[in-house]
Amino acid sequence: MQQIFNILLRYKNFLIYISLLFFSIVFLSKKSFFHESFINKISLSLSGSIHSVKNKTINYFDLFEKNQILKTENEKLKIYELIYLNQELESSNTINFPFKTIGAKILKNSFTNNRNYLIIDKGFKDGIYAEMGVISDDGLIGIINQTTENFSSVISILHKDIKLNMKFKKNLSFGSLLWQGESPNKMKLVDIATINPVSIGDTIVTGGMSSYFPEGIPIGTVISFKNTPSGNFYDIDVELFSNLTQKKYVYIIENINSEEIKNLENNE
Amino acid sequence: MNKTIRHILQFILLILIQVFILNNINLFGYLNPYLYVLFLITYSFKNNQSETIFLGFLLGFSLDLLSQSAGAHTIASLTIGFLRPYFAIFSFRLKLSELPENLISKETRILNKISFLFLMLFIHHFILFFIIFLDPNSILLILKNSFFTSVFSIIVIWPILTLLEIKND
Repeated sequence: MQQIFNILLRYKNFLIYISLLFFSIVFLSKKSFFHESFINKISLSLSGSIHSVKNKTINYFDLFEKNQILKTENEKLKIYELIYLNQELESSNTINFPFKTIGAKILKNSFTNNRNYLIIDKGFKDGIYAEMGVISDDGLIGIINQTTENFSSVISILHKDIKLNMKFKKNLSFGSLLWQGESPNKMKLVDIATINPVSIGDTIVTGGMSSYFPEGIPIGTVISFKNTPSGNFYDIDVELFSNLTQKKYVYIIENINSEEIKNLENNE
Repeated sequence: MNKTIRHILQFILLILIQVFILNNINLFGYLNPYLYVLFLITYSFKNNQSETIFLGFLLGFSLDLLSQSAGAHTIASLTIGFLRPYFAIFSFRLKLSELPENLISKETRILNKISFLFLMLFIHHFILFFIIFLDPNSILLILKNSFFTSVFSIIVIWPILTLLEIKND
């Protein structure tokens, strides 16, 4: 103990310097957006490489389970393929579908904070850039936030500041889905006008009004609803189909038309 | 006691001059002398080194707050506050315990003095510009800026140092 104390005293100046330097860097990152994003980028690529090493070792232990998940997903895709081929036979004109997918693996997932982020193992080297949508085999994951060469961070849909455009499968009335930080499988649907009928068990799907996600991905079911105090809108509790706490693989959605849509929005 | 008050006054005066006058010079569009480093140059070596580090930090921090810059001045002047004894040892060829209370006096040789001033100012400016630009690709621009600003700063600091020497005698 005495020795530790002596060492501390001997390097007192250096320690003071390091702690003040740390404080200044925090100050710098809080005050300037440019410096903040630079520091975030460094920390993203650092934590990305650390977690990829960790994942590589852990991966061997649950290969069997993952194979099972992939198999079921492939089965599901096979059905879609058949439907698609069927449609192609019926009408020879090709379907104009403006989305492409890129597969990626989750390196770090969080769902316990108010604002959750994920890190995935694809970066701008793989053609990923900010504001692309991310989905899993059975639901939404989030939106790309920042990319480095090999990694990207994803804002999870379990993030207090995010609102997603949703609609009812049965009658296309649309509203916004948001997360209030409670349980990772419950979200809130707001801004649905009370002129639309709602009943428990209704299915919610993605609306096509954002360029992040294609229309019609099933999200969850209504478990309870009530009127807001103003009486014009519903306040609906939604239970998600997908369990965001157990995801390993995701698909990044590239909207081929997003440039055009963005240009239009900027012109408004 | 008298000395402490003089240091505090010097500290405040240097910051005010820096923020309200010298930061607005912009010679050739980008050159500003950083006079406030003078505080760390003339501050006595007999004082505690931890104190110097802390004062360096405080100096940069107040300047950052007043001039609305992010944190570059803080890190730069904190670092030269920390490195100052090593610069002095290098420039004056003395041991740490042999350093005189006031390095800048009539007895100091002009070459030693220039070497010390240039080291302090150049390292300070280099860190400052490096943090402001924060881009490895513009390292040449950073070096060029630091060099010319250091020369300008020395030109401004030199006559003030000479005046202080005369006063000290």
